[in-house]
Amino acid sequence: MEKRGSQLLKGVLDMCLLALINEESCYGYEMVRKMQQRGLELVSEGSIYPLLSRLEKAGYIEGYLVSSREGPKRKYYRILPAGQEKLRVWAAEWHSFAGGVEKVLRATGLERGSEL
Amino acid sequence: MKNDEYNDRPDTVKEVVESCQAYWVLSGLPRQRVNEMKLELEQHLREALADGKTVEVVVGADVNAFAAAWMKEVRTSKTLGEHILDWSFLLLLAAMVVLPWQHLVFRTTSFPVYWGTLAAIGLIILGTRVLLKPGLLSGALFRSPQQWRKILAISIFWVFITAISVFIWFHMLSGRQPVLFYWPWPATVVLVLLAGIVSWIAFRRDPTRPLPFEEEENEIAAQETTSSFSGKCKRIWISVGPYVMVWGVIADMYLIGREFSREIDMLVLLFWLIVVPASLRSGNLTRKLTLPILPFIGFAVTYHLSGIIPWDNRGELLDILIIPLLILLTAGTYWFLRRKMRLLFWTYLIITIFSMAAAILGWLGIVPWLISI
Repeated sequence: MEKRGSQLLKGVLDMCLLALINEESCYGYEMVRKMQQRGLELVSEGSIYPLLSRLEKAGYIEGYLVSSREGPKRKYYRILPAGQEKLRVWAAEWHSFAGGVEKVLRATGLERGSEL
Repeated sequence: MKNDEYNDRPDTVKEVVESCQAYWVLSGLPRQRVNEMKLELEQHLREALADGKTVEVVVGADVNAFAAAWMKEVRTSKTLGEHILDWSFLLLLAAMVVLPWQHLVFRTTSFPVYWGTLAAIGLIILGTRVLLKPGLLSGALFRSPQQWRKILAISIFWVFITAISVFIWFHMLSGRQPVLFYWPWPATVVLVLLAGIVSWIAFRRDPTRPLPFEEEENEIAAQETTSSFSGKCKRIWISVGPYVMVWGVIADMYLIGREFSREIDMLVLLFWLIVVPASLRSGNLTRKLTLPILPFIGFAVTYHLSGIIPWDNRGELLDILIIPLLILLTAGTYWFLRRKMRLLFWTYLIITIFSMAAAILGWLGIVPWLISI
């Protein structure tokens, strides 16, 4: 993915993380893998942790340690009711924003998959 | 992931994780939170490396910037009480560095305080704050032994030079500045007690205190309760030693001036040498910190109060006192270093080096000019 893509992702990374956790409780690296599988590449993978801490501090998610047979405990995150509510708000904002961008591009004849 | 895969590249991961850990601890994040963050980062790095990625892909080009970004999201602001406690701790320890040792160096019960004396206290507070800043020298505590030993050696040298400079500064100030007031010995006693109490509170409330500490203690204590002969002996020493020291001092008070008083002094010193290091390895924290200090306070105060020692012999007495005290301070410094307890390590280190410098200058007679005061 190009640098521009990373910049765009930065703005919505917290929402993406919240959505992934809403899908299923998971740990940090698992979230990165899931995003990569969906075509989202992070320039700095570690940048998810400050965001996860922010979400945790805001009461949207909570971390918990799970014992592992392979090694030390692993920290998983699960979504809280306030997080689910926030995700709904953020998703609505995103759809509205993305819809607006889509309309702008469509007006100039640049719809998805089209060429200049 | 298999351990072997990780062991192929242990240094990079370890270095990054330890740098971040240092930054977080020195930023004052609670140790439990730091341990969680460290665990997450280490596991992420291990998996990323196993997937063929580089460390840079995870933390970016600047590890400190990454650690700072994460820290900002975790940190909570300090309460007013915590700020007051921090500054009182520093102020009292700086005063401990500058003031009480003048009794020992100049061998006097009261000494003059100049503006320069207060400036020295201010400089020490400032210097300690600088040392405690994340990313500076303190970070070396968490890095590899080769790295921190080098930086530690430089720091010790720096503090030693500073200490010598401060004492020479006092020498130069003598007679050139007006005396603000004379510092009496009861003020030293109050200062020592206050510093002890505030240090204890600061230590108990320090969120950066390592968590496995109590567990380690319990493990050591459990090992020592084994039926081995050395284990039993150690336990007896630890249990009985402090009391013998106190009674030794009391006996010494009665026997002072007689021929065998020196033998009692040696006995007390011997107990200091054995009990202090031993008690640092066992028992609860309060006992560890207070028991070795209490006899010294009792010893010093009683001697001061009694006034039965001829003035001419006091210098000799102080020479005897300073040796176990330096041993105690050195042991404390090492102990805090091993546990990576930043605040107490640096303050103990500074106090130890200052005390050593004071003792050396006193013994060499380099600053004998105030003895007559």
